[in-house]
This record gives sequence, structure tokens and C-alpha cells, in this order.
Amino acid sequence: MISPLKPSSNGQCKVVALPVQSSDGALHHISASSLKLYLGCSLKYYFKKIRKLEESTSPAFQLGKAVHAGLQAFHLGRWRGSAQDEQTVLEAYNKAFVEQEQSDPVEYKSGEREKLLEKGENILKAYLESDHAKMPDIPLGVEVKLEEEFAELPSPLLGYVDLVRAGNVPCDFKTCAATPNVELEAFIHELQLTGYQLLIEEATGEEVEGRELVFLVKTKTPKIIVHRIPPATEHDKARFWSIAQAAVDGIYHERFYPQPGMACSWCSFREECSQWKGGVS
Amino acid sequence: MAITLEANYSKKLGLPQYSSHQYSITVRTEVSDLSKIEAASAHLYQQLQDAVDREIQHPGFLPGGNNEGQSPREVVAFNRNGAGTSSAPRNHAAPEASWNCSDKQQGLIEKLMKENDIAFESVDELAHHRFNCGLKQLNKMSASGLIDELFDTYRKQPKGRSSAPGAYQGGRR
Repeated sequence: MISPLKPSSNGQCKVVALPVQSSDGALHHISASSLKLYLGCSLKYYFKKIRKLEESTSPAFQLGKAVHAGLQAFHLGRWRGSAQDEQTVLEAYNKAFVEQEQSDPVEYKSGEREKLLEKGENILKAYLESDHAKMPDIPLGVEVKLEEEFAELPSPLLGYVDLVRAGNVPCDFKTCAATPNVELEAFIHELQLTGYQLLIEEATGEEVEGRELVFLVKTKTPKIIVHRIPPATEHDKARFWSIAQAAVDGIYHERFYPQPGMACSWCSFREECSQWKGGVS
Repeated sequence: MAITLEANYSKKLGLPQYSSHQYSITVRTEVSDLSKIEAASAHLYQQLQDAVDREIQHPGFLPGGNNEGQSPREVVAFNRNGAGTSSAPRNHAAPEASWNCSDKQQGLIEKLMKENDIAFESVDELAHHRFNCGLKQLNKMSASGLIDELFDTYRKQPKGRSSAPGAYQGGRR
């Protein structure tokens, strides 16, 4: 038998995590990483962004943040015509490493900290020797924060772009443990890169000539792999908006539920997740 | 036997200060046989959508609107295709405006100049040096970079994503 229609609740079902906490405020703005987090696992999004549960900092995250600080110092130096030598870059790296440790302590295994520090230094040295670091063009922006309202979304879109190169090309640095499959990575990070393109186009009124991913591979002998892809097409942009709208709609209507998969193996919230048994608010 | 068909159309739109408003209409009608459901549904959907779209364009009270010197955010539909959305041109100042960046950025640059007693010419020269254009011609992305540099130079604030002070923060002119 078909249940009678209930317009007051039809399409309004809220699947919520317990304890219930409103998602008010979560949509002050939306970033590509938030969208990806929500679509990857809506319940993890709930724990991180709504309940703001603390997540332990991993050594890899610690390293990534500090390496980014070193890269930022290098490109800011190039942009502003100030110091950009190896010593300056490594100083910025070490400073960020220590600051990150103080704000988010990491539990290292014996000798791990020293190895990690050295690994980061080697990656940065490899980058400084790479063709990418020797680019002739002066950056248009370094660590650029852009926030724009778009008619397609009810919340402003927010993005931090590591580097904007000539031709308004957004460039994102990724530290990774093994040599990446660049095609796959481009697919995985498409949302982020398209979001950056939309933000840059909106902020400058100019076209974006491409999108770039730079992988700093933490192998014994570090590798720098640059993968440039064409600018997002109208199809890509439509896809971005539809994905973003799906995520925003889910957050707005507080649809948070477990999405078991491989990502659970490194998720910090498995215990909280196991408490979830559904419910309708 | 008459078949009762009940249709509901609801729409929710974003408003300033992260609020929203919602309007829905529910109607109940009867169709004489099952074969007419599809046509009746299509007709009802169109009628209800038109009605809701017409009414929801009047948002009424807007929290923190003009009283705080802000222009109300345009009510835009949560539209999958972006069609029928804002007709305002994206980006860029109005032709008569003298600054190309956002009002907020202009205000922040002027505030920094005043607080630190920096001459307009100095900042204009910096803009020329960094971006090959004058201060007033800077677009929003360039202005963001310039503000960062002004903060770095004059306020010595710690750098970092969470504290990036020169960041451009939304809003159309």
C-alpha cells in the first residue's frame, strides 16, 4: 500500500547524528574542502564542522603545513623582490614547524620528529632546484584568500590559493608519500581547482588560462611533479555548482549519516560514528 | 472513484546575515482517473512554482540590512543551472566608481593609510610596482595581496591562513 502524502514532512526528513546539534553557522561560507569533506562522509563533516570535535594532528599534516609555509616564503620573496634563498625558505619552514607543534602537539615515535624535519627540508631543497621554482613569471598572488558570493550558492564561496601564476593560473601544492597518478589526482582535486578558477575569475574579471597541481613527493629522493590541466569548461563549472549545491543542501537540511568505506581506516571519529543509530529530528 | 491529488511546492532562499526565508503552497485536487495524474501533476507543478516564485521575491524584514549601512543581499533562487539568477554584472566596479576593488577593501586600505600615516602616493607606487597598475585600478585579487603586504609592513601581524588580514571578503559592489 502506498502511504498517504504528508506535505508537511514530504522531502523534509532530517537524518541526524546524535547528539543533535544545529548546523546553523556552518554555512557562513563554503569552501571546496568543506564540500569534499561533506560529500566524502557527511557524519565526519558533522563531527568536524558542526560539533567541532578535536582531531589529532598527524605527522604528515604537520609536515605539509610547514612545507607550505616554506613555499609561501619563497614565492612571497619572488613576488616582493625580497629574500627567497634557501636559508630564508628553511627558516620559514622551521618556524612554522615549531609553531604548528605548539598549537597542535603531535605524538611522535622515537626519532620521528628529526626524520620528519629533515624530510621537509629535503623536499623544499628539491623544490628550490626544480624547474617550477625557476619559473620566469612573477606571481600574481601568494596564499590568496578569496571569498565571493555567487548566484548559484546561498553561501559565499571561500578559497585559499597557494599561488596564482601568470595567466591567472591557480597553483596548489600537494605533499604526498608516493608518486601520484596525476590523472587520478586531477580528478580528485577537480572541485578545488574549479572553485579556485571561479573565485579568480570573479575577483579579476579575467580569464584563467589553466590550473596547476604541484606534487612534492616525500620519497627518499624527493620528486617534484607538475601537472597542469586546462581551465574548467562550462561543463566543469556546471558540475561544480551541482556538486556544491548537493552538499550545501545536505548541510542545510542536516543530513548527516555514516558512509562506511576505506576512508574509515584513517578516520578519527570511528568511536563517535559507532554511536550513531539514526533518527529523525 | 475520484482520485485525490495533493501537491506541495516549497522553496527556501538565502538572505543576508545567513538567514533565509521559505514559502510553500499546498493544494489538493481530484482527478477522475489514473491516466490524468501525469498531466494534472505537471500543471499543478507549474502553477505552484510560478506562484511561489512570485511571492518569495518579497523577503520582508531583513536582519542587519540597511540599518547597518549594508545593502540587502539580492534574493537569488537556489537554481541548479544558475538560470534566472542575479542579473547584476559580476565583479568590477560600476563605471562611475573610482576604485576597482571592493568597498571593504577600499575602506581597509584607506584605514591602513590613515592609521600608519602613509601617503596615497606611496601606496599607489607600491601598487604600480607590484601589479603594474594604480591603486584604484587594482582588482579584488590584487588588492587582497596589497593589503596583505601593508599589514606585513606596518602591523607585523603573524602570517597564516587563519589570520590573513588582507583577505578580500565577499560582497559585490
